[in-house]
Amino acid sequence: MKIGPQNKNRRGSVMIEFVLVSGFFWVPLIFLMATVGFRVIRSMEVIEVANDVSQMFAQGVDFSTAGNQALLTGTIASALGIQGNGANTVTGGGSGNMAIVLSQYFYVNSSDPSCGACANAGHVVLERRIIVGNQNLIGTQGAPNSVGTIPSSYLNTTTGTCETADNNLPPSTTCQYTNTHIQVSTSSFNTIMTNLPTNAGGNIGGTVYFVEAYFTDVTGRMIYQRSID
Amino acid sequence: MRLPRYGRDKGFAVIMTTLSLFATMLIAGLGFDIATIYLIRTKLQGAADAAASAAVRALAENGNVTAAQTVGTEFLTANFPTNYFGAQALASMPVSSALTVSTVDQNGNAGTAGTTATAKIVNVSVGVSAPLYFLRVLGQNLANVYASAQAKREGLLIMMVLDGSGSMQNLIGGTPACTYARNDAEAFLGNSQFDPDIDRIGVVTFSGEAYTVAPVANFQSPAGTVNTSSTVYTAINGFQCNGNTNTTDALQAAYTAIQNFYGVGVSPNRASIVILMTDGAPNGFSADWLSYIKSGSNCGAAASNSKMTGFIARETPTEWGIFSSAAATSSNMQNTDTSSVPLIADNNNCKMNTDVTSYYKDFSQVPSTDHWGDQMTGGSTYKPTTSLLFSGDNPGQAVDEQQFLQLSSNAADGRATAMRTDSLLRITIYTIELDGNSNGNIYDYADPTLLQRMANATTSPIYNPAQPVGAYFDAQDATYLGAEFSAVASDISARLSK
Repeated sequence: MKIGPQNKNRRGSVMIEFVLVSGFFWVPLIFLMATVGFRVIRSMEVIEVANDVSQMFAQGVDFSTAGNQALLTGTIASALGIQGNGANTVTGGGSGNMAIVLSQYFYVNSSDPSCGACANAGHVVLERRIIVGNQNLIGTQGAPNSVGTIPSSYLNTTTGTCETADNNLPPSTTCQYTNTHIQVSTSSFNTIMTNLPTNAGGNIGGTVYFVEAYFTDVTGRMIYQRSID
Repeated sequence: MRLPRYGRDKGFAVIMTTLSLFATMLIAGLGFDIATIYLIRTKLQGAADAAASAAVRALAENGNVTAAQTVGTEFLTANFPTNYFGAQALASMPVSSALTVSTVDQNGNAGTAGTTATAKIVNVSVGVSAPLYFLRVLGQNLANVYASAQAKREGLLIMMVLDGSGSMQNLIGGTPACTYARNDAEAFLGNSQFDPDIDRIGVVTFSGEAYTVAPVANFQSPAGTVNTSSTVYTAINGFQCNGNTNTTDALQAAYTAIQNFYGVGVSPNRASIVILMTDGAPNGFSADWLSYIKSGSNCGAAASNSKMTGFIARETPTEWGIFSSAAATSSNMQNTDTSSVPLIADNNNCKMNTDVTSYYKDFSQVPSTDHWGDQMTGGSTYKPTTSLLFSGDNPGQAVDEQQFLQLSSNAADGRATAMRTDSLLRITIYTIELDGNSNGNIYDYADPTLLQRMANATTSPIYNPAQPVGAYFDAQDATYLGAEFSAVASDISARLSK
């Protein structure tokens, strides 16, 4: 069969059009859709992990123990590539795509009989912090740093609580009332903390359980979510 | 003129590309908008859950409904930031009214506060309008997203079991420990963590015998202050101390009171809790002695009356005997140990006027189980002992005081275990050890290990997470009792909020 000169001239044009349209339109579009889709899915997963862990933390699950950390890294957040802490029980490890920071804040009410005129009266204090996962992700790529710190000299590296050297008194109690290093600036914090005691109606300040999740997706970008219980 | 083939197709690719572009954008836009909605919904659901939990926690700390709603609302807004992905609260569902608290009965229907109500339910219902970006081409600018959550503040049934043994009369700073216990127990009733609408308390006091001085009842006014006219308050206000420490009968009395409140075999509609405050080791138990009476013994008259269920106890430093037990069956021997009845009575000549070693004159042995079926001897008991006591007429083989305490402790340990392992009631036990009341006797010291075992505290050597987990508290002396009662209340409150 003879092929006319006109057909000869068009040979390969469809391929060229396909490459051009694909290269400049379809591939970027599909890539964009996939990226956005994955990010949305990951964001939802991170939200759910933060919510679940926060609820468990508030209900007394002790994430300073190896068993519960294994539950977190091996089940709850395993799909997000979180790695265990290794030897660092409560201060986090150095690998993996995710870090979860569990913080317990306490409002020291001036009317609290255990406080009296204690140094932390009227302040929100960080009384416990546990980091699970890659601590190097915290506060990077525009994600906020966790509020407050417990200086290493006061940190019980087994439980994550603030403690003093006075063994004759309940350590965490002593620390939360007297150790000014663990005070948290309320201006940098949600008003929920200072409102709790009044609303709860008691003299003892309220406790808030705060979980922050830092996750880097396949593009290396940060997803940050938090949950307050 | 007939067009060439390719001439007819000219422009076809442009049309197809345009159409597919439109379809693809529509699908992509739909996907993006749906993903956004899901993202908002996930965040909103987490916020609703947190709000419900926080409101229940506030209810557990203080029964004030308005305060709980405020706290819950704060957690809702804290967990769902304003304008999250452009979402706005629905005008028809303002955040300020997202939380409601209802009082329900055991069937989940509306309950009457103070009578039929057994729990408070926090319902969170929240809705936001999520903006749509691509679906606007179809005329849809917004999509409503809803979330709801529910949490419950369970009612409490608390039995306070107060040790009124003689050592509680010891003075701390000039004031009897008994007075501290009475005042602190009264103060406990006024704790803000309790909810007068749904919580109930009963009281058992005990020494050699146990008395349910106040059956389970209301104890606070509707405003949440102590109701000084309540039977509970009146009973505690009349608390007196004298006699032995029959912890087992006391626990059984509390157990019976709880069963009576619900009805035997009826599923409980509240969290069942026993709070045991004691300053000494158990040194009394109830048992069925009839089969072990020696012929011709001093107890013969009692045996002929078939009234041989009672507690073996030391009533004074020199007088031991088997006495009736208020918690035992109706065929008890005569009542001996109330504030209005002389402490020591001769139970049908079945009282030993010398010391514990005189038991062998009347009984061949101690039963291996107490009246309630608790194992007192054998290798599986808390303090293993194989001696059944009173082994013949040789005083040297008779029970000594240490063995007597072991048997009593085993009985108490067994009773607490029976209560915790009641699969229907699932009773949680708190124990408060009161130190500083010793007169130098070995039974004047409470046994912290036993109290931790009874509570199934996490520090107990037989801690079993499958059973209700209580807690053990230690008061250095009577002046610390109030703090320990408060600690118990706080612990209960914390558990309620979980």
